[in-house]
Amino acid sequence: EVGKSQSIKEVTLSVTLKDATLEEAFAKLERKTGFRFLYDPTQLSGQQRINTQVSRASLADLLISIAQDANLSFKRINQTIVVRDQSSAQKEDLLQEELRLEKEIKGQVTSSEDGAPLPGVTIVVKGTTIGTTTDFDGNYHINAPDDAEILVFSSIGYQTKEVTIGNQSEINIVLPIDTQQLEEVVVTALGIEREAKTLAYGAAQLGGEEMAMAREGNILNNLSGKVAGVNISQAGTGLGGSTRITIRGNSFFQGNNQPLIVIDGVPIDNQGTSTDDTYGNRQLDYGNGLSDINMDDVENISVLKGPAATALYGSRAGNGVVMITTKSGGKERFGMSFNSNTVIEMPRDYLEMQNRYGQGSEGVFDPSSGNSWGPAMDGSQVTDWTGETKAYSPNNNDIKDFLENGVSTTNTLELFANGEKSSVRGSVGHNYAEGVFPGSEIKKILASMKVSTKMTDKISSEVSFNYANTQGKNRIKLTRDPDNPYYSYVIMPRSVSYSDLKTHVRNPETLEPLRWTSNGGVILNPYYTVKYNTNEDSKDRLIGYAKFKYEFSENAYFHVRYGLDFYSLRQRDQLGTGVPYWFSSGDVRQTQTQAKESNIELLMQINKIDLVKNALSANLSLGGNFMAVNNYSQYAAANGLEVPEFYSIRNSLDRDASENRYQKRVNSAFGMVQFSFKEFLFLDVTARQDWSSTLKDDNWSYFYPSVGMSWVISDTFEGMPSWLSFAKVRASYAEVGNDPEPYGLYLTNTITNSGAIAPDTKPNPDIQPERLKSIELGMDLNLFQDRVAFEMTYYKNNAINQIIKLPVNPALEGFKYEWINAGEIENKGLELSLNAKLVQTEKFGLNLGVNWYKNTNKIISLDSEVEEYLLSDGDVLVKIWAVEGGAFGDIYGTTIKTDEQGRPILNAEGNYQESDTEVKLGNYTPDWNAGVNLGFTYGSATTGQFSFNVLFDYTKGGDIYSFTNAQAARFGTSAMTLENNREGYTIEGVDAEGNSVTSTISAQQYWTNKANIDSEWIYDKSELNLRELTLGYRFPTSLFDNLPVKGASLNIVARNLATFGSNLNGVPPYAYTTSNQQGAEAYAAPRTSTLGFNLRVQF
Amino acid sequence: CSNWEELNMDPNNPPAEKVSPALKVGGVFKESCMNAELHQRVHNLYVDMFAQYYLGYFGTYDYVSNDPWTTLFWENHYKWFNSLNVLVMDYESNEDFTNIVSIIRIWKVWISHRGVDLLGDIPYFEVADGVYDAEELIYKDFLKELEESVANFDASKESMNDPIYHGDLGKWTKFANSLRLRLAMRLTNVEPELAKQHAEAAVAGGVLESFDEMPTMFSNTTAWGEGYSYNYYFWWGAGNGVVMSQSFYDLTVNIGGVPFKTTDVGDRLANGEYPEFVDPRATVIFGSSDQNAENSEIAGYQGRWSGIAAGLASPDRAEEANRVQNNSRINVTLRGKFNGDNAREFTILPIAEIWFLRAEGASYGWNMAVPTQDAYENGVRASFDYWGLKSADTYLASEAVNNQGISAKWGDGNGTELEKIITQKYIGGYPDNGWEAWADLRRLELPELEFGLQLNTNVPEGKIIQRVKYPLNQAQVNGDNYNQVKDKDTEGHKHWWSK
Repeated sequence: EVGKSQSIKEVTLSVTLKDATLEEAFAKLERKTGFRFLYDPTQLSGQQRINTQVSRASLADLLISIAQDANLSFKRINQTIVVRDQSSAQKEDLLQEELRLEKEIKGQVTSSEDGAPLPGVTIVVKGTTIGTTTDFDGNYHINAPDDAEILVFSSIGYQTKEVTIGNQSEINIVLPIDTQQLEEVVVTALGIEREAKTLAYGAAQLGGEEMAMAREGNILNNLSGKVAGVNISQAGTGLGGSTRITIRGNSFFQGNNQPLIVIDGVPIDNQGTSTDDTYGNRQLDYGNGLSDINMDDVENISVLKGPAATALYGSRAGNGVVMITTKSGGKERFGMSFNSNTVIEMPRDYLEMQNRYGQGSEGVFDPSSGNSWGPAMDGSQVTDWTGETKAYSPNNNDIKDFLENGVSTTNTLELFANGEKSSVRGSVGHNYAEGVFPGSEIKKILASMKVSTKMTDKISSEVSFNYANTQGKNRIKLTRDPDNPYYSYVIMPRSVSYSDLKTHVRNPETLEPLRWTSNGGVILNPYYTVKYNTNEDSKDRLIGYAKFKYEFSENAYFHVRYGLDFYSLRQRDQLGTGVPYWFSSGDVRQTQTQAKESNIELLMQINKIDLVKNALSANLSLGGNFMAVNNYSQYAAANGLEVPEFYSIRNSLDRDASENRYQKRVNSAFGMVQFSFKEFLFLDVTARQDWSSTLKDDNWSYFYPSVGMSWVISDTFEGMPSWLSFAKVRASYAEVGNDPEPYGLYLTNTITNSGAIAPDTKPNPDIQPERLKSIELGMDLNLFQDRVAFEMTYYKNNAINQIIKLPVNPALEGFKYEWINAGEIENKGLELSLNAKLVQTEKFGLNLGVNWYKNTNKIISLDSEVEEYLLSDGDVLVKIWAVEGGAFGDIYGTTIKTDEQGRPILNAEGNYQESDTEVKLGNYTPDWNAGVNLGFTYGSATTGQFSFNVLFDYTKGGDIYSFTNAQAARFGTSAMTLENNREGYTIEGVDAEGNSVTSTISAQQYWTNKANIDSEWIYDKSELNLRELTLGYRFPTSLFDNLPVKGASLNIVARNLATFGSNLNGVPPYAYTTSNQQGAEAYAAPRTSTLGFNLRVQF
Repeated sequence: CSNWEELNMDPNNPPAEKVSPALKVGGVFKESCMNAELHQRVHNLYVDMFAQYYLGYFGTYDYVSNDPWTTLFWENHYKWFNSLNVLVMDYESNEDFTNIVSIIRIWKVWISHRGVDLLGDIPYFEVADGVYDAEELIYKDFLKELEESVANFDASKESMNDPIYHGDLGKWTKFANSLRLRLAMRLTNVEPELAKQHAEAAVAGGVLESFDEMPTMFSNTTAWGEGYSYNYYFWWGAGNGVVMSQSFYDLTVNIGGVPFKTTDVGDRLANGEYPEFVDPRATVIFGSSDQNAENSEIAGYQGRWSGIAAGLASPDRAEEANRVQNNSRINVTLRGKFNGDNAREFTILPIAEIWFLRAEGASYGWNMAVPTQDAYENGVRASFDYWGLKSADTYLASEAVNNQGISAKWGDGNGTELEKIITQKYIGGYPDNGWEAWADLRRLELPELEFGLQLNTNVPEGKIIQRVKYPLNQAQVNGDNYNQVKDKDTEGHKHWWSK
């Protein structure tokens, strides 16, 4: 060991170097002397060989001779010998020596996230090259010059922190997670990680753990209010229900307009229920595919918004991509963590109802009426629908009496291990959720594992799977299905009580369900539904991949990956014997589905190709993909049971079976070049060619390019103002092509047992791929040492040559529709986001995040012959017409019929009439959306830390037709029917001949009639939601000193606590479907709030 | 990639060119009679309600067109129409297919006459252009088509296995002639000479007379809604039911002098007050209020045998006596046949109707190959036979009058000949022939029904609804042509042949 103050001239040694490389030579000298050689290996000439033999010679002399041989110079600073090019030193100065007084500092670095030790953190004495890194346990040790003032701690994914040394010899520090995206790598298309600053388009990345804290059954719901440009709308179907997500508006007339979901590079099937049939017809909402992923497994979620970001995912990515990366082995040698999340789900916000008038019509009590237009409930004795005589008074007749509090518990255990050659992470989770609708439950077992192994220096492999087993029971049937409990609730007379319905479920002899009326629609006793008209489903799903990678060199590799999304789903539902519709002896139906999508992906990646040294470099990716979808489903049903109440398909003489096969393939070749000029100017060019099996062979291939540029202004010029830490502008242009669904090219017939039926849609063998063209401009600014980050994006997307199912006059050829290429939709928008660390001290942090976006949609053209196009048909409540010059989502319906002077034309009864034509009543897309997030932390990992986070989101504008409100008015349950004390209305208008008339009608006549007129039930969807609230405490690490526990945190979590400013009289503005028919709400489940806790312990 | 073409061939549905014409046309026959949605919405809730065959408080009770229903009809009608047209074009030049082409042409007339009767002018001759053709020209083409089709039958050539007559050319001839007789009779107001000419030719060519020739369509029981149960559901099951109309009550009470059979209308007779005499078919068709699914009729209304009137003001509909559950629904003796197996066949053209058509023609002095009275009485007997009733002789001998002053006995002066014939045609059309009852109400304004309060101001007061409005989207997808008929597009606009 060499003394600190000793000159290297005084250091002597004996050494033999024979044909040694410089690296070998330095290594040997390090071992012999204890000095450390600091050098950039790329600077050393690999050819240089050292041959020397000295005995008890001075180290200084030896170094000078090496310096002369190898064109190097040395500078000794305390224990370090810095190796440099000779050019940077005077000839006579081949060896410099500088002895500084030193102090020794040690300590541990931990993460603010979980208090766990952080390995690999770089610690540098500010202004010098003196530095070290932390070991596996987060410990470091550094000899700093005596005059060193500041240590700089930095690690990828964490904020860089500077600490004043002062008199301290031990500095323990907690590194805060870097919430700024800009310095972070972003996972982009094909899973390629890129520095955010090089991106030419908008992408947002969210950490998985914070979302897992205040989780929802559907990950998509967690994106609400967090990302500018993303619109989340939940279906009104309660537990396990679907969520519709659109990014930057709706671009396509056909298709679902929702982004592609990719998990670890594997595209998955995220189809939700999207029937347009408002009658329900036993339609259930089975939720989105995304609910098959355990929140605890999610590392992060990237939202790639525009086609420039997604061109490499091909056709399906035109609506954006939501990329989910699951967790991998991490950095620690071995670790374990346990997460437990339990929340109670409480219904809140109910339809505003009257509670003064009970069952009957026109003020007269009627125990079998479907209406609440009876007399005031005065407590008098009446014989009601049960046949019992009791007081006619307001009752326990609220949906609250029927609903229960739901509960959802998720427990996940994860283990990870990290070796030199491999890393592994596995998790097992269990989720049990009970909905607010009695008897509805979902059970899930979730398991995942990811293993990566370095098999040789060049070859590595990675295998990952996520498995989910989901068992659902009694999901709620949709909209006007008799089994939808919210349907019966909305129209149930106010004098009818749930306690009576509960004790009068069915007639023991006929087995028919009992309820207050057989009139007024096919409604059911909800207790009958729960018990007899049940449904169940079970799904096994595997999402995973296997990847082999060959590294030619540090900067070049090739990989092949096989990705798989496979599920097997069984859906079964039954109607009880005695049910008054469908098959009245009861029935059973079952559908068994197997769906598989596989992708084989080949990718060659060459990074850092130096085109002009130190100025222009390029990264090149070339690849191919083979995608295959094979779906199969089988349906069987018992149309009426022979033996009552024995629910088996075999228990029927009338059995029905069917099947459906679906196949599709797309082959692709793609390439991408990224040029980087002096690390401040970046140019991306991508190209993709697809061959799709759904197109005819003479036009089944199509090409689409993109180009993007990003300029980091702050890295370009010297002398930028100090408050401007980062400034970037970006621009991109991209196109995406999209193929049609299979089997649209040729005319087929459907065979039924009465004959062959032609399809509704005329096939078109010449259909072309549709195309989305997109321009995006953006700017990113970071101010005040990155304390404030501002991001702005403007985009314009034009979807042209769309594949649309054009409604044609059936009289022409007998088809209702034909497939054609036509039309153009434009979406323009602005996205703004701001993140500010308002306060940032050692102990105290206060962060504010705001995002805002606005999308404007315009239908530029349709077909040359057609100016209007019906976006949805089926049994809809109001129509969504696409009209040239209008916007996607325009709602059309009837209004009050008037004469030319605008006076209402009254009918023979003196009431308003519905107009003969339909007019535009509104548009369902919001004007703008905004989210505000405020976070606050106090304390540190060692001393314990409190945190508090609150998220609001606001939706401005957008309209919805509320069938619930219309029906509650029709049936006299709505609070608005008290308006006139039910004394009748005087109406003025004209008769058919145009003479002025004044009429008096009863309140029941007035509201019953008004319920038919669409324009009266259009509401503004604007509302403010208190979306998320978390209150957390991280236990001080000191607490666990003698325990195998590394850290623990407990959070109180709440979601969807309150809604402000809603205009729908207590009804949530949730559309009844996730299809394009978003303009109407019908019997939506009440909103629910969740409140619970999340406990996380790390071992 | 060479097998990709194959990959994109629908594995679930065969290519159209591989499907035989018989199979293709089979679907059209079935659907145009018994497509569940259309049968319920257009046949029952439009036509039957307009004809007051059944009443219930639906929008159509107020004579309001329902656009989704009309659109559904339009879409299906033209799907069938074009599919038949294509087959005619494909095969008409081949003499071997002369019988198949003729059957298809007859059926084309069948589906088209319903379209015209529902809507008035519709695209017919040049459907590919979407031009609306005048009813007059369409009707005249119907008569020509039927005449030619029958003339083209050739017993030496192949026929087809259709779902109605399984290719029996004799029966198809009688069916075509019977249809020709029906359509000829439509023209009595506008072209009486042409009407006479075709009616006489039709009868001379042979029309349907016996039950073994009566055209029916089987029910499709393997898919829900495709069986007769769909009607059964709304007649009897929960939900908005339809019940007997007051008009039916007025037409059937006392007529025929047959005592009211209480055992017909259900066992649980509590407060039932029944007429002493009633047309015996009436109690077979409608049971008492007891026979509601829920037994939810209220105290004082159990066992009631009664109907609701057309055009009640809204508050009156809430009156106890006017509530659906307190009135007569389709009888269990009848609906029992549908309950469970759903397999009741649908009557395409009742034998009774053809006798009454001949009676009407004979009453004008046309040669219907049968005296007026015989035709009339044969019609009544055919209707009694249809329901399995034996009391036709008693009935026809009775001078007892119904609430309109009309008796069953021929020539007793209680009602004119035409009133007697159309009254019996109306009653004899149950349960499936509401289309013809509605046509007679427009052509002859018989029977004389009460319409009550008519909420839709598009229909003149005291007149029956004439038609329903074209699909709203015609203005969008066929705007130029629609503008030519726009002025005719109200519920009150009369048919060419209407009174």
